[in-house]
Amino acid sequence: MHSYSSLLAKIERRVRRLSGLRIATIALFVGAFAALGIAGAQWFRLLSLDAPATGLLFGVPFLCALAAYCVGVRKRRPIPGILLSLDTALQTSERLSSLYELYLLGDRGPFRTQLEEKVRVVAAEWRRGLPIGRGVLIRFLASVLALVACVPLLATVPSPALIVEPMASVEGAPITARSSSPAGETGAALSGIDASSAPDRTASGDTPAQTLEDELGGLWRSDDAPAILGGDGLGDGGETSAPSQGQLAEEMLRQIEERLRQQGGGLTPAERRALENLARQLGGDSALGQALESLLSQEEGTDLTDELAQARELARAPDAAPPPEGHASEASGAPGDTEQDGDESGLAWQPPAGDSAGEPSSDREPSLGESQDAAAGDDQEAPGKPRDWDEDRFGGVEGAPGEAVPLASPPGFLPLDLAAPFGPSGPLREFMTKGVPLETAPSDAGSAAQLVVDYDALRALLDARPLSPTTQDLVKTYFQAITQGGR
Amino acid sequence: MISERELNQAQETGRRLREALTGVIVGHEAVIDSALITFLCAGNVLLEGVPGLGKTLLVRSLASALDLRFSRIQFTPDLMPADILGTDILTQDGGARRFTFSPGPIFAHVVLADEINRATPKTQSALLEAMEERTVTVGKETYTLEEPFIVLATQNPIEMEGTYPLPEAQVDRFLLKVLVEPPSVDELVAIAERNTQGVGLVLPQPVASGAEILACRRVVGEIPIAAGLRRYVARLVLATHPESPYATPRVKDFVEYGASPRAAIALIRAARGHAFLAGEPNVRRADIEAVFLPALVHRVILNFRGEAEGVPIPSLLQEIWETTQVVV
Repeated sequence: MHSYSSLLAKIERRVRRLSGLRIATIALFVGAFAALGIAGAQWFRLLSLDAPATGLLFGVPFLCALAAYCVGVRKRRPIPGILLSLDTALQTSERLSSLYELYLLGDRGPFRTQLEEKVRVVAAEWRRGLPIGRGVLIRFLASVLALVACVPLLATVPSPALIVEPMASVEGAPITARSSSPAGETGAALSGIDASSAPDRTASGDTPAQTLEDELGGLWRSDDAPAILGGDGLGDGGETSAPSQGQLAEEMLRQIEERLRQQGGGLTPAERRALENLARQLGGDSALGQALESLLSQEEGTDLTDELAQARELARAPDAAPPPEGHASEASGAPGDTEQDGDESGLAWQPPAGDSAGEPSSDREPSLGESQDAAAGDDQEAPGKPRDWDEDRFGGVEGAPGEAVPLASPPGFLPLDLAAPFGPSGPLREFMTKGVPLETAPSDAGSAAQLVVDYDALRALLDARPLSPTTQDLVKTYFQAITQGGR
Repeated sequence: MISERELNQAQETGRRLREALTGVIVGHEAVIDSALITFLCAGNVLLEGVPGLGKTLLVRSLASALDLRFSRIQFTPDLMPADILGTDILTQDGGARRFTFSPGPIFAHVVLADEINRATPKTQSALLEAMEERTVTVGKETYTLEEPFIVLATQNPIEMEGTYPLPEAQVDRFLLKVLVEPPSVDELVAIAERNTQGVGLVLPQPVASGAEILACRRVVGEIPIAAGLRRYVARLVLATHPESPYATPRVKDFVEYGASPRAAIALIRAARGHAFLAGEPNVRRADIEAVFLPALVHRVILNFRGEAEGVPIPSLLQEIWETTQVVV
């Protein structure tokens, strides 16, 4: 019977395809959720995969499904069982499978004739008896939906590892990490600030995930990093950098003036060093530079309010900015000159040559002046008191109040070559780090380990730097990611 | 291989037989079908029920509808095997004396073993060879029974006085065991009318010959059954064994011995007979379902706990039927 044999062939083909589909959807399901698991691990910073590998990760389930389909299609299934299933599904009183018996025996008797007549009626709708199972559909839809929905989700939603507690108050707010992942790079870095665990972790050589901070670190390690991050657009964009230099100088002068007005006395060594550095950068040709040199030449105990006000006026003037060449060349040559310059310049820090973003040399001489204010004074270590993180990182704050205490770059932190504005507790200490720029909090309460983030200063820095739009976006994205809910 | 004509003739014979029986017996369609199936499948049937339900009438009607030799054996406690099988008797032929075999009532086409459980097991066992091998051995001689041959036995429920339960080996040789239920009101009225009006009950005229019955048996044996259904039958039978993985929890708890392989054979044969009577060209699951209970109910033996708790075997079989899937 030709029609029955062709029907059998069709049924067998469909069964093989369905078998392939069933196995394929199982493979897809397993593969999809395995891929999601890996992606989740990457999201939580438990794994590190580059972009091509991530793309491949979401393609692997489909490849697995294709391979499983091929295996399933090749797999043979016993026809009698299939026909009996079909009979049951179509309620054909086991005629298809009974006819198969006669077909195998080569029977040409009256029963075969009768069966063929009855089977012909149901043969047209045999496909109804072999539908694509609900399990197959559910597995397929679940897998595809999971993949399609979770890829953008994972790509857009920030990792919990990067989410830190919102910092509503800038000043005096201790940085605490809310890291969902033990390996959360930034979270760990931030928590390390409080828990003094960051140095060990950094030193342990943990491989950080491919994250924004890595990109930032890559920028730093690149040859033009000082030009990008050090405000060295002066070299190729004087118009852009001059106002920022003036603004920074004005801000520095304003803070010094304000402190003198409140506390009286003269310049602290740190302030003096910072002003000297600024004057050197501006050069003697600039009016502001000359004003600063004049201010610095005043005797100890002299009231500097007028000089400071005058210098601020000059700094506010458009021509206060120095010629860009000097600073640019200085900045670009920073890596090689860092150590010797670092001793002289109060604010300028240069990264050591070949030093990676995550492993700054602890042997390098610190150069950032220590604030002389009361808060800084409170940071001093009492006899017998264990040295806290701040002291360890910054080379120890052993000096008495008023002395210039050199600060070392803590592990995992890189100093910025900036004439930074002063923060509430003195000169703002800016570091390029895997966390956020930090400064010590005014620790009136005696907690020397508390650190704060000055977002206004950060914003000012970011706006003032001649960073390329791409770099600016990167930095902004980074800080938005790590300070979700913050300012 | 049978021809279309043979098939049609066989189906016509089956239809006539059925009409002849239903014309006499009121109700009891399942019982009539079981008797016919057994006859068409060359088996033996055990009819169980209290006296007066028409068991004997059914057998007599069947025998009457067939143009075949019929014998009835009333089993009593003092009945001996020789009374059934026959015996060698000393005869004188022309001055010479010799033993001559005198056939017993077993030598017939249709044998009614009435109230079989009233005889002792020894006498009951006299039927074993005849029922299974269709032969009778007396002394050193073995005699072949003439086909078609069928034993239709009736028994009262075994818990009645003066009965002897049939040995397991004997029971296993019955293709089907049919429980004859009391008639309904309408059926009882019809029975009363048929037996009291006019000349009373009239047995049917012969409607089929022995040759026609044998032709029907050939046709029934040709009815195809799917391989999947054969496996299904095997699983059903195995499910009656307490140690089988297919067994239900209640079977494991209450059954001592499950059905023998002969049960699977009986189930398939009976299913073929049912399909034939239904006019179907193949065995269906419905055919198996129809004969599942009568084919297995007498082959499952309860354990002490099952007996003590009075577990009905039909309920166990019904559970097996509902839990065993056709397609695995």
